[in-house]
Amino acid sequence: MTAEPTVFVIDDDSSVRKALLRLLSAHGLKSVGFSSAEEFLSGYAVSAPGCIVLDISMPGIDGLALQRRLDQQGSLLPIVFITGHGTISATVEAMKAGAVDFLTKPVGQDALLHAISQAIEKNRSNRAKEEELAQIKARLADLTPREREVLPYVVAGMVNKQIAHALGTVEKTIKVHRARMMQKLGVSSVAALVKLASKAGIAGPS
Amino acid sequence: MGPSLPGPHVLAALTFDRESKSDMLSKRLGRRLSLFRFSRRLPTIGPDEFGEGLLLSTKRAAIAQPAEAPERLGAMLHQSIARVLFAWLLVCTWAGATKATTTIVVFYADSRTLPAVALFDETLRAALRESGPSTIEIVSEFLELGRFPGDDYPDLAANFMRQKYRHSKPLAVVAGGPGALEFLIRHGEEIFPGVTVIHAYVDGKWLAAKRLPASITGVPSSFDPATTIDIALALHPRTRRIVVPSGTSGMDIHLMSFMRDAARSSASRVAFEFWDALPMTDLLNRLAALPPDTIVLTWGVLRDAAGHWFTGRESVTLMSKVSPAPLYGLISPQVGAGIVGGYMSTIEDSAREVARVSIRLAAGEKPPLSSLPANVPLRYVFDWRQLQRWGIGDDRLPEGSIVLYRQPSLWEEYRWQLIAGMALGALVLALCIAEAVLIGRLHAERRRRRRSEAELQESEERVSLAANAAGLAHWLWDVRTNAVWLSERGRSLLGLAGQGALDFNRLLQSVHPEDRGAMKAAIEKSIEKKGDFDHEMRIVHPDGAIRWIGSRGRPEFSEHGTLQRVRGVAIDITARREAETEAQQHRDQAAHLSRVTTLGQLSGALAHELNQPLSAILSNAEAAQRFLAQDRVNLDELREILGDIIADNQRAGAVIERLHSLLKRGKSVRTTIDLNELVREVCRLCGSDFMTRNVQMKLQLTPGLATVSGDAIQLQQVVLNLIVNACDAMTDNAPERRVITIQTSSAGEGRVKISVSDIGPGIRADQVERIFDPFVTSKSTGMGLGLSISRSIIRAHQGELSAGNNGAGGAVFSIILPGRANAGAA
Repeated sequence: MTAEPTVFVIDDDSSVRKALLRLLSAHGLKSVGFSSAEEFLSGYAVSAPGCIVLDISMPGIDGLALQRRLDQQGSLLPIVFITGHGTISATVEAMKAGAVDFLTKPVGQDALLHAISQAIEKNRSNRAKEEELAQIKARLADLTPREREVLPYVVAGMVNKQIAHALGTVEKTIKVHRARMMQKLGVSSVAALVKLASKAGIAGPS
Repeated sequence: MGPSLPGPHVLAALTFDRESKSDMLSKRLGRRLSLFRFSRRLPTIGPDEFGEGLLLSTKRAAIAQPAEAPERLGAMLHQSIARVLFAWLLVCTWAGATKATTTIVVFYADSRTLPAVALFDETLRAALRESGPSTIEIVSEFLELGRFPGDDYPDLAANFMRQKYRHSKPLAVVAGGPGALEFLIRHGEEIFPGVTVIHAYVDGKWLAAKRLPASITGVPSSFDPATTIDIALALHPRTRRIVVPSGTSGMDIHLMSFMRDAARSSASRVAFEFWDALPMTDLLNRLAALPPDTIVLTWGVLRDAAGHWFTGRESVTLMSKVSPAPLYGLISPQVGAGIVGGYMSTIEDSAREVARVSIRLAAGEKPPLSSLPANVPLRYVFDWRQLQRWGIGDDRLPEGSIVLYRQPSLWEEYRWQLIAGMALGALVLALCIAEAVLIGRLHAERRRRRRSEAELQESEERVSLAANAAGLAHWLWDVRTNAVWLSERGRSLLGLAGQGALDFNRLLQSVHPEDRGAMKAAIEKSIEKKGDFDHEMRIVHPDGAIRWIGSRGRPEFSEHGTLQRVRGVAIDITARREAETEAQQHRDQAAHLSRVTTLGQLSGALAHELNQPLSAILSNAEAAQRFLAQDRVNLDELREILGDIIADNQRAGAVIERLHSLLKRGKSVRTTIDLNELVREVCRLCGSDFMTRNVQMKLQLTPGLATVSGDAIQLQQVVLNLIVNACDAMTDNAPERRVITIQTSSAGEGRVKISVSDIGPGIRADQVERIFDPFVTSKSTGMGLGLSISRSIIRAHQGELSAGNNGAGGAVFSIILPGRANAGAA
């Protein structure tokens, strides 16, 4: 989180790209330009902080295709689309796929900077969530199979006796597993466990 | 006493008491007549001293009938009282009042310039004279029915004749030919009530079919196709078939029935083909294709299937020019027009029969005359020139054959001069004879010249008729003298009417300055290659008007290979050229119209084009503002920004310029369209492009396709665009591998399909759909709008434009459109 966020400007039109980079730099933002989606894909790091300013219509891989590609790769970089002429269908598709904003050229600096700051904020929170989830997953990985087995039942609000019955063992054993599991995951209450489990995408027993 | 001369036409000697009158007559008669003036009265002479001739001794003769006078001129020699050399005496058969006369009026349907008519007239007069003292006076009327073809013309002519002859009662009226007879059957009674009509040169069977009253008498001619076929086969023993062309007039049909009868009796020896009712052009084309083992048997075509009338001679001449097979005929006046000959009644015999009948009537007999010959005798008549052409010697002709147009031997030609030369060296008496001979010679010369003049005139009229009908002008450049001859039409085409003698340089001056070099080059090339030339050029008329002229011609060389002359025809092609210019304008218009109609679709793409530089300008300006707000201003940075702003501004300007050109006004019009015709039209539009690009166009058009409803110009633009793309796709192919195939077909459900296929590199699979997007292009030039526009046009027609690759590896674009019956929903 210490790294300074970077605005990646992807536009096949060199004069537009140059002007945008100039404007962002005038506002003290770190920015890098790419002339095509292909060039960006080969030169970016998934973990890099920042956002993307993306021209929707480009030869080769166009803006919407790049958005899908980055999503598949688990990119956390939010996208601000800019376009020469917006069609409703393209706008809808872009927004559904998580675009921060969809701006029409010529793009005024206020709208652009606002969208970029939103995007960077979103990236920041995304990255924080991502980090938390990574920690949770690391803790989950420490659990023994039996402890991992007990977890969904606890999240579902079942008492030890019910869990022992469901898993075909005795209440005492469940109690031990439950205590170790809570300890390893760093939670002291069932409520905190439920919150953690939901972040990790763990639901009750099927 | 002077010798009487054999012919009817001799020089005239006149007696006039005042010179001015003879001058006036001299002027009227022109160069055809030499005038000998006598200031005193003629010596008294008796009737038996008269030769044939004309004494122009009265004002009435000179002034009332000056045009007739040369026709009737005769002269005789008379020794003068002073016994110096000779003197002249003339007798007027028309105006001379020495005897009571009876009159015969001869009607001809045609003009006096027709050789057959002239021959008949001449023979009839001669026969009457030969028969004894001239008591029958002949008046000729040339109705020229063919020349004035209005429906009411015969009635008007009849009316005029009735007025003209209201105080005269002729002995008889002669119908010189079937046309005149038809006129007299209808109008004879009203013009000359109760008069006897003598028919001449009219077919007996035709007469029999008419069932004429007894007041119409005469000796019929007859046709004998069977004997003509016999002699033709004898002279051309290798003949395998006989072709008989026919026209559509009553006489054509009548004669055709004769031919069929005759054919039946000869059918075992040779095959017959009857060509009924063809237009003249088709007839000539078929004749030209005949094999040489054929004979054409014809009486001419009087009216062809297209309704055009011809004289027998005209049609025979036309046929003879193209036919590789010999022509045989039934009608003697056509000997000389191109037929080899035949077994036929002659004009002269017909005229002599009329003379005999006239004399019997004059002697007081009344019709019906007893013991008239059944018909005019038939004779073998041949054209010497045609016999030469087909290599037929005199020895192969039947006995008693008449051979016309024989070219005289040297002796024959100059005999009279030689005799005259000898005679002139003799005594006074001999001089008289010599003079008589000379006059005889002059007479013969004049007679021959008159006949050939008539023929020439007719031939020229015929050629100029055909040329005028086709709008053709003739020209001739005599290279040796540099003189140029142009027909009247040619002079008017080139704006040279009223100019004097022309030479090649003057001709060249009338050509547009920009076209002169090319015209000279075209002629020089044809001379060099000894071939035809075909060239188009602009002509500047004196009033500044510019006409396009197309000219074809051919250089003619002597047997030693030296260039003699260049001969050709010219025609005004301005209308065609203007049509071509108009087609070019249509092409431009088509391009504009389709752009405009698709502007809705384009506006987005154009906005994109325009927004790019605007976006850059805005960002740059805002960045500059931001930099200026900072403490330390980087001037270099600012200069760079301003430079970029200017560049983007210019770029935006260029886009607007392009937009402007797309915004030309236009209107879409829906009509019913035949796609086959549309494809042909487009091919015409870009024919010249194909040539310069060496592209071969193959059309596979399915006939009878359903029509579509749409904007023809827009659809043309689409097809044009696909063709241009196909051409572009094959630029890298070798010239022989540049082929575009355009197919039209039915696509089921009432739809129709046009496909344009090339043998270029084809379309990449991942590009097949994208190529229809605006600004997607594989070309270094162009905006990549063509296919996008095309698809939107086709969609506007409820159709579909799709792309793919064909078996040959090239691209194929297919347009499917709803047929007109299915297009109602839109």
